[in-house]
Amino acid sequence: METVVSRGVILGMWLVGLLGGGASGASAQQASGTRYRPVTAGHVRPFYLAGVADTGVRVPGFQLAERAVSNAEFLRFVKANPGWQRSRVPRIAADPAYLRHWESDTVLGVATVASAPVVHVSWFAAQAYAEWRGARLPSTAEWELAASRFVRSVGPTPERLQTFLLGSYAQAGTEAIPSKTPASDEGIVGLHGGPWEWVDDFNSVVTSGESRGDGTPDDGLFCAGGAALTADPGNFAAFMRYAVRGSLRGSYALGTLGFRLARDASPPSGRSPQ
Amino acid sequence: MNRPHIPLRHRVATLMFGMLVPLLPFAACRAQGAGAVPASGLSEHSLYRVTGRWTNFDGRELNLAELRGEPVVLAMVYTSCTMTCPLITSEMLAVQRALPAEARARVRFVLASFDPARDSVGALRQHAEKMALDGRWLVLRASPADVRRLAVLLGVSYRQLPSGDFDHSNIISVLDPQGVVTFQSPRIPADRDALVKAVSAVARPSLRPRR
Amino acid sequence: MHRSSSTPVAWHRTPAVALTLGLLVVAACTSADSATRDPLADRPSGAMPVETLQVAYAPAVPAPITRRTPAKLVVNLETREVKKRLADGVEYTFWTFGGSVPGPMLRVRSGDEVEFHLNNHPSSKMPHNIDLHAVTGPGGGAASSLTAPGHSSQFTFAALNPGLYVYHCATAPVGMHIANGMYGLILVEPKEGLTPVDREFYVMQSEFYTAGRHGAAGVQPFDMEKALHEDPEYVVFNGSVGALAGENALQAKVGETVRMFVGNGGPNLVSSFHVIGEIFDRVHTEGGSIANQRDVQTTLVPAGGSAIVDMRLDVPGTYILVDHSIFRAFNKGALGMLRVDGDANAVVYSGKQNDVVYLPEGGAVQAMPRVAAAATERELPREELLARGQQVYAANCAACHQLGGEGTAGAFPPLARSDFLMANKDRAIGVVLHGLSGEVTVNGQKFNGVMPSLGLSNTDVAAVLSYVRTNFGNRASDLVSLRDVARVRAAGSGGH
Repeated sequence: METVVSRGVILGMWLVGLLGGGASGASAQQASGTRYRPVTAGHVRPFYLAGVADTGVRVPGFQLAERAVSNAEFLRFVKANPGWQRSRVPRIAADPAYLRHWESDTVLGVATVASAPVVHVSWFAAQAYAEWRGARLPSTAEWELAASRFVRSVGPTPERLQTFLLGSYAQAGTEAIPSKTPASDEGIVGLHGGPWEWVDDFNSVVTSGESRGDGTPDDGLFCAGGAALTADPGNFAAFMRYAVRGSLRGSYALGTLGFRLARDASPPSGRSPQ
Repeated sequence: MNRPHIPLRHRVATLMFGMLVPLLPFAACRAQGAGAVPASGLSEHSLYRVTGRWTNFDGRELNLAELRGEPVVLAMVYTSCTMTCPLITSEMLAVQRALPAEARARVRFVLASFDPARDSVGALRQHAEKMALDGRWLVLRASPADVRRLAVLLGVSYRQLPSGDFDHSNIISVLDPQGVVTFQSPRIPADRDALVKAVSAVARPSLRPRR
Repeated sequence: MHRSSSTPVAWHRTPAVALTLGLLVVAACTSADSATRDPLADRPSGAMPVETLQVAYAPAVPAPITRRTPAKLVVNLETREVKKRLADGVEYTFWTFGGSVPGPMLRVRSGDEVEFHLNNHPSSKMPHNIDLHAVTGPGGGAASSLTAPGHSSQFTFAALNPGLYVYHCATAPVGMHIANGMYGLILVEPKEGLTPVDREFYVMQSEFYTAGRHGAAGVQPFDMEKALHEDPEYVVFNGSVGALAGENALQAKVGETVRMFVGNGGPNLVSSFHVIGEIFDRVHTEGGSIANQRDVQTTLVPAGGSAIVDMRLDVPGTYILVDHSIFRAFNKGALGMLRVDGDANAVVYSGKQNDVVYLPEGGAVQAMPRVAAAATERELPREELLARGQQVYAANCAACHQLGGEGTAGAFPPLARSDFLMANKDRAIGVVLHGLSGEVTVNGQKFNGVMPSLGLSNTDVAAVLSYVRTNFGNRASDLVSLRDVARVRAAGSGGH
């Protein structure tokens, strides 16, 4: 009798140990899995048109993370990939502002909110994180498509969205917390009002810093098929987003710039498969 | 031309050294994915820390880090471009001709394509023949993600148009043997004297990778 | 040279020679002129001395340049987005050069080389750049200086033309960057310097387009519609309402010659710049390099432009700076002050010597033409009486005594908490019925004006007095009735 009980106890402890080990092993990379929201297909007119006949691109449906990558999530990444820690990352991949708001390489510090969007990350770091999570960065067209859908919270007209955006962009620094800004119609949080976000092709803005001309890109600097006309010169909010993207280099780690993950559309499953 | 007499053992040693040195980065590389931080000794500003897999017009696959050890003049173009891309290439050819002979033997000229969809290996080879590019030239293609990565490293902007053509910067970059960008020419027509000067500066024999 | 075989001619007298000599003289004059006109002519062949470029924040101006040779000047200008006061109770998120609106004033000499470092503070949300109107080159520097937050750009330019130039941010959307406060002035002195004056000031006008109306409290966002329609809520000097008023007034002394470097950041409006009580002795119209006009009352300052005005101060007092599109001055904030201390000069300005009421028909109290009496004079119930009284007050009394009964200092006595009004009810009725002239003392202040008889019906008199005596802090225990008014009227005109 005692032998059976003691064997059972030992077996039970084994099972617990296995499950616990398995669980913690899985959580090393998964922990809180990224929740993605489907973004239905749509049509996006790029802000800088390539000639008047440019009617834009059709963006197929895809999945976009409900929230931007947080400090806590990025911390897990750098712990698992020490080459991306602040003191070890080469300057070609991230400039001196990289993760400067953290207390140290692997400590957020009391001043940093773990669940807030991580900022001070370079494009290369964001790409590496996305790859680690089996995902990618959204393209500009994908991001702009998802960010244009705010009818439910802001109102149906482009003007209402414009007013809302200019109001939120007017906040100095990064005071606006994404949790206080409305979610998009598709349930994505923090696209506006929080930090700017990296896109995969941020360097697709083919204009110089001098943006007041007739729209013709400087022929010497660029090999360009036509004028870089603006689709919507009254859309100041879009101007601002594109101006930010146009000023960036891949190693820049701005304090007002974070990122979120995207995936191609896949069978319905809210959570990351990892 | 008189060739100096070099003992056989010296030649073997040099040959082995020449073969082994480029392999050092791979020996020290930690497998961490495409964003790998490899090799000891590479400057932290070197492009070769963050590059992908490319295929040359002769079918050979290479990591750009294999260019380490030689100065490089690099631009991004696409073969069906009829506007400034041919001018970029001829600018680089002119720079090559303007270099003194010993420098010319050391400098590598690289064209990387924006357009892997249409620039197959065959298309790249045709382009190399058409532009009469000699053995110092590479004409490369890679996946769209690796193309984007290289462009970002170089500060080159580009986007594909509905027609399939590309708008892109006309930047020509000069890399030292460590893979650090030392000079960029932003426009076409370029300041050829400045380009030649910049290339000569990194082609000097004293600039060999140390450590 | 082929010689003619004819007799020698007095060659120095031929028209050809005269013409040639004339041309040579003209050429010499022109080339001499172009030598002095070429700003880079006196650059040394070797390295130039390197100095820090002098800047100052409005209303101060950097000191005049005493150097008479070119130099290389290094300047660091930071762009920063800051939230601060636009008006009392009103805040705005300004985008600034140097943390202030306008940005600092730069001062260089024609021919100087300027090494410009544009530093964008890491807390900025937007990239910024700079277009200096003094720069000859694409975009005035804007193409070379687009700078992301937390980064710095550098470019170098030569200051060629002398004059007073605006600089501003030119990042898309340009209108918004300017509308949020990104502008300032750069003065390029001519090589020989400007005519010396005793005092210099830096004044820059601009507009702000807020979502809320003028005075609406709180942090106001930028309103794009108003900006597109060129309909600002605020038009101000030096970046906020009252930046040059009260304690912040400009100070000078009698006898001094004062120079104002006046800029207009816009983004939209042209300014009609005027200093009330002064005349501009010399004006560099549009900030050009010649003082091309004298004795000017009001000078135009274009949006994105400037003017330089000199004036000699002869009389002490407070001079008001305005944009003479006058509603901007009094209703939107385009008002500043220059306080001048010193001895009075009665010859130039005597001050008020006499103040009598000008009445073309004579000195007696005038009566408004009597309106047809109200259909029926009747006693109104309290509520209706007071409501009627408020209407009558607004229509007849408020223009002089103000809607709150506070009156106008020096002209019309207050009705608020008025001892004169409340002391004697019948007297008050008499004043409204018959008017009043002569000196009275109200709440300790003397007034010596004329109040006309307003020709109101008895009902209206009862109503307005009941209203006034129970409002504006006055506490009457009883109202004024129709019977009271009738009684006083019957007693005859008894105005003091």
